[in-house]
Amino acid sequence: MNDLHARPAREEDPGGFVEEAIPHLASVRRFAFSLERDEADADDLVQETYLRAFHGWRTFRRGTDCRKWLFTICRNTFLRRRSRKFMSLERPEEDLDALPTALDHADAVRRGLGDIFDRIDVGPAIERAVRDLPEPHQSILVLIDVEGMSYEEAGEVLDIPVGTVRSRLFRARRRIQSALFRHAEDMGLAHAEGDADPAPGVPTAHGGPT
Amino acid sequence: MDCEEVVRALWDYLDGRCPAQRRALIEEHLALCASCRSHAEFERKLMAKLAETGRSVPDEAALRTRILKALREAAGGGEGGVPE
Repeated sequence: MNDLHARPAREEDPGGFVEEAIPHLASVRRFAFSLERDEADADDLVQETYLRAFHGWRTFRRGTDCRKWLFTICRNTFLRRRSRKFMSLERPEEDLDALPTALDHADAVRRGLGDIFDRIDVGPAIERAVRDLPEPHQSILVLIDVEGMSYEEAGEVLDIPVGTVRSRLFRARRRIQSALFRHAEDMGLAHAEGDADPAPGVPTAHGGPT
Repeated sequence: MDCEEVVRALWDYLDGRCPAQRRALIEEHLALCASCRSHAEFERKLMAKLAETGRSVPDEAALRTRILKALREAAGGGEGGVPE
């Protein structure tokens, strides 16, 4: 094997693959974990993704989004490895807007959980909640809320319509929020039963001043 | 817009997917409605925490070393150079 460490960077990376692709390693790893849900399997998937990307580097169009290209390869590799398709996991999605989450939030506020971000470190609870999400929801959440992709970009990576992206994302956020409220209750932060003291302006079913 | 319309549109609003006119209407409502504003703030904090928490990758350096080693081996058996 060539001693590539000893060569100047340009000679080592004539096609610019490492320079372009390696900076996205953490993003690809996060996405891979959202698909595999196992640390070792995710690392294997990342390695296979990068090898496939390296061999297909000539097909990458310079100036386009390398991270998105890697995500697409990662997803396709995952599907090939598992011989399964996302569509087989499809179920009717219900969360078509943010209303269910708003109702959950209004209920939580009545139980004194409206300010949990100021009262406890929610980081570990969020981390657990993300890991507990079902795969289709976790990968959407990672692509959009962590990687900052648009709905359209995430839909292209996962080969699903924007409407499905939207409903899965909303469902995922609602699950995370519910898990946070459960965590806060476990920490004893909620009002005792019968002790609820509705905050001013907090409606039963979020009606507000309407 | 009333509260229900606003909360239904909240994530589209927070994700920057509302047209300017709708966005202005939502912001007008949020300025006047404490409960919707509280809800919007909560969701904004949740999204910020999600972005912050989700970015950690276990042992990224070890993974990088592994990937580069695999790429060098792949390059050694085929065309092109690879990379550190």
